[in-house]
Amino acid sequence: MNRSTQRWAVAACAVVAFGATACSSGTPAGSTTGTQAPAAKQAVPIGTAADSKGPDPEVPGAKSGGTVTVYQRADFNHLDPARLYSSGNQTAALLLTRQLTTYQHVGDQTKLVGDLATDTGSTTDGGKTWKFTLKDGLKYEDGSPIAAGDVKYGIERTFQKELTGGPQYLQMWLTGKSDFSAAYPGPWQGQELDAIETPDQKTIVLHLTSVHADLPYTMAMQCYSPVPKAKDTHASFDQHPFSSGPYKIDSHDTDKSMALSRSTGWDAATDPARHAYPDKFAFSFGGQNLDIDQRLIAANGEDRNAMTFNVKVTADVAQQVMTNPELKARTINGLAPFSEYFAINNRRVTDVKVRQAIITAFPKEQVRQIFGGPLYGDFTTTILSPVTTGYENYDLYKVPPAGDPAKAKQLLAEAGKPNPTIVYAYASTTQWEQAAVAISDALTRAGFTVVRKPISDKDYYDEMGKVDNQFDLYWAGWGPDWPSASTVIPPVLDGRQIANSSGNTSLFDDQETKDEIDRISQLSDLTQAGAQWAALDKKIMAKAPIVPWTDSRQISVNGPGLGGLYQGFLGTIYPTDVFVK
Amino acid sequence: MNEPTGLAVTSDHRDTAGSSEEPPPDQTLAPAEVAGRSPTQLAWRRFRRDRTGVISGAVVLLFFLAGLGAPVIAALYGKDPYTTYGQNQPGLLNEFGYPAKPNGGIDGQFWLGLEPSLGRDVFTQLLYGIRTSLLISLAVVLIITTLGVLIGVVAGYTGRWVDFGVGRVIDVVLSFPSTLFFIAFIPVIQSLFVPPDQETPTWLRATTVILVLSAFGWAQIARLMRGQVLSLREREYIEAARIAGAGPGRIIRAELLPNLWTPILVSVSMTVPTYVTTEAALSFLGVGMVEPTPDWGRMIHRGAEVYSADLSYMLAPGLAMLVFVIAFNLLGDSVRDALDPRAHR
Repeated sequence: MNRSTQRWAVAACAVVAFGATACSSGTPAGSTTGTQAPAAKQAVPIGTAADSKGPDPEVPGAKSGGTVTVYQRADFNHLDPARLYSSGNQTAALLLTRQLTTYQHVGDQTKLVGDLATDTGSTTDGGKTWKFTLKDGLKYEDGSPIAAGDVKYGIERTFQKELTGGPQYLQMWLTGKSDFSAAYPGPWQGQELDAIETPDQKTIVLHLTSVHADLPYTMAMQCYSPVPKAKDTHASFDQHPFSSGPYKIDSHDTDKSMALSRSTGWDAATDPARHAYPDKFAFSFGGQNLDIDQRLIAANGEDRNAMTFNVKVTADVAQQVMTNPELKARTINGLAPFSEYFAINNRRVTDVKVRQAIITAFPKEQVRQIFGGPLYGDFTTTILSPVTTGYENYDLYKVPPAGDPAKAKQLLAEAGKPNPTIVYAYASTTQWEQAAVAISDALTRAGFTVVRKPISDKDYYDEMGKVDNQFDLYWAGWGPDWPSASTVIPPVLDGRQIANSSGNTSLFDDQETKDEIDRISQLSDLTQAGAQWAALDKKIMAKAPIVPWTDSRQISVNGPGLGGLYQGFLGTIYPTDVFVK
Repeated sequence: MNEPTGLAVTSDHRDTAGSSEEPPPDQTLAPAEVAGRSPTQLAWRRFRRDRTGVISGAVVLLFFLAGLGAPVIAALYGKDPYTTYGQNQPGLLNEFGYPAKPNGGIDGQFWLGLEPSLGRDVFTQLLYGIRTSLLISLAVVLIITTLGVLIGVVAGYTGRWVDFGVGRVIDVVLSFPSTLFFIAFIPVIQSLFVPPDQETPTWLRATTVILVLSAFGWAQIARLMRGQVLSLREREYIEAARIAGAGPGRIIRAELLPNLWTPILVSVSMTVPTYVTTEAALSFLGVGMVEPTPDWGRMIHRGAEVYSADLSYMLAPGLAMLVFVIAFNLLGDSVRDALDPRAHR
């Protein structure tokens, strides 16, 4: 479904919600007790039309005015909505775009609500045809109205071959083809997409080729934002998009800085999810993570009102930040929607007992310590992460996080292969090299013969993503695009998705899994589907295609002069409720 | 007593104090001086009087002993550089992966503390790292000196088109951006010899590093030798040898080489520290020796990454490298002074 390798690197895309508990406590190491209620619940419930109305309920203590400085390691490589698919870019787009639906964060509750639309969409045929009605008083940065045709044009642009890198869900659903650009080439040559109807200036009807009950979540992805045809500057739109959000771009000096100021057209009364308290945002790009951390820690001058979307606290200053109460108080520490795992090459390691032995012997704890210990993430034993609807915490193999070489040895003996050779491939960075030492030590203790293969850092994704790669074990990661397993299990473990650089890095191709994916995808009740996905998660893990490792955390420091910051669906720190104290 | 006698006494005294291994009787000392000394003996005498030279020589010797005797020292000390003590024994590292004790975990058990994250012993890591770096750089220096002397002498003595050709090759090699070449080509060369499902053996890594460094290192010493030979070959004694019927082989071997030992020794003593740092730099850049082979340069690299949380880990390899390079350079200066007193500072 998604072939964007970049996405794995940058960390994930949309969507997740956590209640306060998931956010602050996390899973204790090696916890095997299923604390989750057996009945599946919606990770992000769908809100009513009343919730969608706007304005967003006030943040206690918030006031308008001031300038917020944002430090980012690199410039946003895309701002064209059709190309938004990495969490940093998407977070910036929160200020510059609006969608049909969006996520509203009030207190600790997150809900999906209508953004441009009056509700989260309605369907009369179980999820094949979807109807959205736009609110009144929606305007662009220059005060011109946002019309239904603009939403249609924005979706049509995502078909344009030149605009690479965006998500592809809606395009495939509208055309029923994975090669959707062949079915409709995009609007730049004057063609229109018949699958989207705009009977009047306020109504949008989407005709999908199959049932997709989770479409309301899909429409919250920023790539499906409205773009007025008259303002589409094609390639240069990426540098300077026309804003439908609460801010507009005043200046953008690529790779150096970007300045935003309030949009004149945006009206808080229509927006249920954005506050736009500060008058201006000043972005500064460049510098290493450590430099940015140190500026935010020191908080001198303008840095009092500084934040970062996605620069994590580096291991060097982690100890300082987590042990100093003043610093800890202005740190946001939450689970990101990104699961990391070690993919076993299922085409090379065909014996399920050997794969189970790898899971049993794997030194999860030793490897995590190299990356900073508990700050890096929470150990996981499941494919799905707590951020997906229906997630169930279970531990099929019941091994301690440090690995159990004796038990692994026993599994290998049962398989009749006491000393299988495992080729472990990794990016040749200092930390991964050290991790290779720990992994090789642990697997050797269980009887494996480990061959270490360093791959140059920049080629890592290409090399391990090859279908005919010569490796047995390699790190990979995935994040759901919205809080549903339908954006995790199908792209990562459906045998039909196997291709070079696809999400199915473990090359797992299992008939039962494919049948289940097809069956669950057709369910129109999302809660029920969530429970079924979780059951499938368990069934797949019995076949041991991957070694689940951690659910990532993002821990970031922000200046003491800011309030209203929280970690949003993308796992990044959101600027939608921020205010200068 | 008059003044000259007093001076003689003090100088005698100094000599006997300096050479404790063979204390010559006072009576035989004066005749021996009259009998004259070979240039080597004179150079040794001059070197022995240079206190800086002797101290730095001792330091360098210590490094060589520590590096080459690393397995022995590690066996006596009871640790090895590969075991991840910090991960095997709970309590040695804290939850962030740093040594739980202050100063990088230095204590009676781990003399220089523990490495962050993996928790290996820093002392044995350093000893083995020094060994890796020294062995590689000595091998490189041996190769480039042999090659450089051979090419330089042949070019300088033959002259004409041979000299021209060699000279241009040297120009190209010297002007080549060698560091970029190392980074780009070492992985390529290694992947040529290793099938994708096998690990690159350590000896192959070491050999590639040695060969690639040698491929660029010989030019400098070759140019130096060529210059020396150019000035020597016009001397009268060479002329005399030629007239006496000596062939080019004999002239190079018996007449030229003995006069080249001084620049060769000086150049060797100056290039060894250069290649120790170059090898460290390659590991720093990720194209030298990889885990788990202990390496000096990689320790410094890792130290630079964790310095704000664990300064001690950077200090041990960093200071060791600093001391070694300074001592070796001072030793090189002293060797030059001793061998060639005319070129005095």
